[in-house]
Formats: sequence, structure tokens, C-alpha cells
Amino acid sequence: MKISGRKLKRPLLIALFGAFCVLTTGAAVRAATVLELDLKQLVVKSDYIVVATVRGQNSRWNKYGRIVTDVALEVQESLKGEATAGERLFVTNMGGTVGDIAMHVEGSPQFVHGASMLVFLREVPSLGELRVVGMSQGVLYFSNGPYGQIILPGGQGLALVQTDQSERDAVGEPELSAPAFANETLSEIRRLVTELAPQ
Amino acid sequence: MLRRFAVRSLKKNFFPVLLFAALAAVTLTSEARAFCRMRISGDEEKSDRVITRETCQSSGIALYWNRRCISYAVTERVRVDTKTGEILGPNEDPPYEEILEMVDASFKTWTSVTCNAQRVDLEVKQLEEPSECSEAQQNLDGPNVNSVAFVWDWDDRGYDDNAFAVTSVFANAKSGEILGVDMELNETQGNLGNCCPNGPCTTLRCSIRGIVDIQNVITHEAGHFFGLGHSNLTDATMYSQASVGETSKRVLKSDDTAGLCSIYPPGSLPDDCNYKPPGGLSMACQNSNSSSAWGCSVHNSALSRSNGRVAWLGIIGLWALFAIHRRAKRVPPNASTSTTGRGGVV
Repeated sequence: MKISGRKLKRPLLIALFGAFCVLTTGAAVRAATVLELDLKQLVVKSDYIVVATVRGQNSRWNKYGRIVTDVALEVQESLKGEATAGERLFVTNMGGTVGDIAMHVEGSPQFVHGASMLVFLREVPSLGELRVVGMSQGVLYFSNGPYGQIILPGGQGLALVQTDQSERDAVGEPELSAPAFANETLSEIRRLVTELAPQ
Repeated sequence: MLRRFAVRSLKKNFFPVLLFAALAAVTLTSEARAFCRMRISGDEEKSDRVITRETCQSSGIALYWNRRCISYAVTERVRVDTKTGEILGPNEDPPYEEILEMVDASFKTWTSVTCNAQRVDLEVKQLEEPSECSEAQQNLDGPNVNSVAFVWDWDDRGYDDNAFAVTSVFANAKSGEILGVDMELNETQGNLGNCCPNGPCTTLRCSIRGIVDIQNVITHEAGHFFGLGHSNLTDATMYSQASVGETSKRVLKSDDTAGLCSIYPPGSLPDDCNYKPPGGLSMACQNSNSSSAWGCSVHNSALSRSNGRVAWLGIIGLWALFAIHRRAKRVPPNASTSTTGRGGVV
């Protein structure tokens, strides 16, 4: 029986694609080791967890001689804290540009105007400000994938302390080290918020 | 025969092989992505795309020093009661001189890099006088100091408590020329120390005791000082992750030196050498408002708090002396001067 070259090529292509996927996944797994805060830690450290859209940002010098950027977030959904849909939260982010001067802090989150994101926020009472938890780890963007909305890991530009491995193993929570389905991640956050709420 | 088979096979599977090669190239390239430069977004492209952990920002304005000679100063370390904010005394573990040596070695690791057998043009000088300002700030109209500061009020500054250090780079937003850099090290994270005292590094000993090696941290932060971002190569000094007790970042890897050489190829910096910042040198914080509200740092604010206490004690002491003096005046010359009994003085 003669098998056409075309039929031969198809399994080969699938095998090659599979190999590519394995290689790519391998890279993502390796990237997972750089994650410092797992989902539970992010939830615990947050006063507010919201799905929000960036509506505006304005950089200024603060009274301590640093440039900070005030970011207006329009809340779409609140997962933790007393925020309501449609409300605006103002987050202060380290760095920005005022006139001819820029201040750059590696690891500070970037806010993309109009983009939808999951944001973990904490209050800094001494400054009277809201800050992102874990710097860029606390800002996770949504993206539309072929099988639904996915959530992209944060953590760009960070130099953080590595969490103790034994502690992490004991916690055993999933890490936001690779893209994940948005609905699953949000469900997990809701579950954690309920579980960790003071009785 | 084998060769003929190989050629025939290659001809038959040319497309899949080509595809595989392309995929492999893409995959390998992404894995081997190396050094990354720190960039700021230009106004016209502000926040134009999502930067994820895997991507190196390739658009925007790259940051760089346009001067050969740069100086910095190190703040003195203190021990602080974290509950009250009170300064307990100088932190001599390790001694200040040893810290200066470690910080100096961190910068020299970078400035001794050779690019095509020529030493990089950068000259970085450690100032003898300690920096009195542990704030990350830039005085636009006057003098400045590039500070390496040990910080206790980390949380109050809004920084993440998991960070070893934060390096703030002030730059010209149009050209990317760096104007000043301040490095803040987190004292609350753990025990900052020396994991390589008098010889070989004792990483295990440091890991067990939770000691964070100062030279390891500052060598990494010095990469940011010179305008480098994070590398995806796990063994690079500019890799984004560090652990307690780690000392491997003290030594630069080829990826780190390639990054520095790409920013500062020999002969690219002006010949003139002036260690003073553009507006002059000042060891103190420039923002006078901050010292009243918050101080240059917890160091200074705690100092001012303790100075305040000393002032109040002085006032109370003077008042007491004045009162005793007045009472003594009322005592008849022949009366007892004993203060042990009321009758004696009245």
C-alpha cells in the first residue's frame, strides 16, 4: 500500500507542533520559579482586590521629592474590600514623568490606559495612599485566548526575595506563574477571600 | 549511501524541517534572551502595550549615564526598635567600614569590565563622608547626592515588603540621560550582612541564619544604577530573583558584561571627569518639608524624635533647676538646706 507524502507530512507536523508546545511549556515552567507571591499571599496582603480598567493617570512630584503617578481605576468587579462597580479607585504608583524629568523604578507596575486588569491593592496609612501589592506582581492583565479569557502573570522587572520553598510547599496554593483561565483564577480568589475572612 | 538518504529525506521533508528549524529558532531565542536595558516610555508611546514578565521592553527611551565619572555616598546603618521607631544605636554588624568595602567592590565589579580588551570608561567613586539623606529624591535646581541608603521605614514608603532593595533612577525624559540614582536597601527584610567575610563565601551558613548578602544585592542594584534592566538568564547577576544567603551575583556573567558593553562601548563617554552631580554635591536631603513631616528617612526622623525627647528633657531639667533655685532663695541663711524633709526647706 502506498501512502501519499501528504499523509506522511500531517503526523510529522503534529509531532513537530507537539514538540514545540513541550519546549514552550518548558520555558513557562522554568519561569514559574521566579514567582515570589502565590495567590493566597496576594489575597492576604490585599485590602482591595478588583477587576478594573485604567481610566487615566497623572504623574507628579510628591512632597518627598519623588515622582509618583496617580492612576484612576474604574472598578468593574470587587473581589475584596469596600469598592463597588463603577467606582473609581486612585492608586499611587512609584515613578513617572513630569516635564523633562522621569523617575524609573524597576519592578513598578505598568498601567495601560483602557486595559482591563486584576489588581491587588493595599492601603498605606502613613501615606494615605493605595499601592499595588507586590509591585508588578499585583497587576495582572486579561487577554482573550482561543478558549476564553485568560489572565497573564505579573511580576515584570522585579527583584524579590525568594519565598522559602518549604513554606511554599506547605501553603500549596497555585501560583500565577503562567497564563491561566480568568474565570478559574477569579473563582479561586473568591474562595480564598471567603476562607480567609475573619469569622 | 547514508548521505544520499539524508539528502533525499531532506528533500522530501523540506517543509517540515524548515518549520521545525524556525520553531526551534524562535524557542531557543526566547529562552536565551539575555540582558535588557532599562527604559522609560516616551510620551507618544506611553503604556502602549502590556509588558509581561517574559518580555523585555524594547520600545521607549533607554537610560544611560553620559558622564565618565560618578560618585555616591552610603548612609550609616542603625539599629531601630521596630515597634517604637527609636534608634537603639549604630549597627556594627558588619561594621560601617566593611559595608563601604562591600559597596565599593560591588561598583568596581562593573567598572572593571573590559569590552573588546578595553576597560569600560566608567569611573565610580565612593565618597568618604556618609550620606545624610536616605530618601530617593532629585533636586532639580541644586545639589544632589547619589545615595546607597539602609532603610527601616520600608512599608511607610509604600515599597513591597518582599523586596531586597529598590533603585530609583532619575533621568532626562527626552534623552534618557541619567541624572541621579538612589538605592534603598530594606533593613526590615532580614539580616543584611556579609556572607563572604575574610575569604570564601559561606552561603549555607548565611542561608541557615537568614542573612542577605549586601554585596550580592548591591552588585545587582548597581546594574540598575548603570541602566541595565533584568535578564532572563538565571545565572546572570541581573536575573530578577535572589535568595537569602546567595552570593553568586557578586560575580558578573558574560550576559551582564555584554549588557554593560552595549551601553558603554569604550570611547563612547565624554573625556572630562567631574565626580560632582550636575547641580553640585550635597550630602543632605533637599526637601526641607520632608524632615519636618517624615524626615529624610526613618533614620533621621527617628533621630529628630530622639532629639525632640532630649530637648523636652532639657526644658524640664532647666525648669527644675529654676524651681530649686527659687526655693533655695526663700530659705533663710541659717536654715537647713536639706531637701529630704519638707520642714527643712519651708
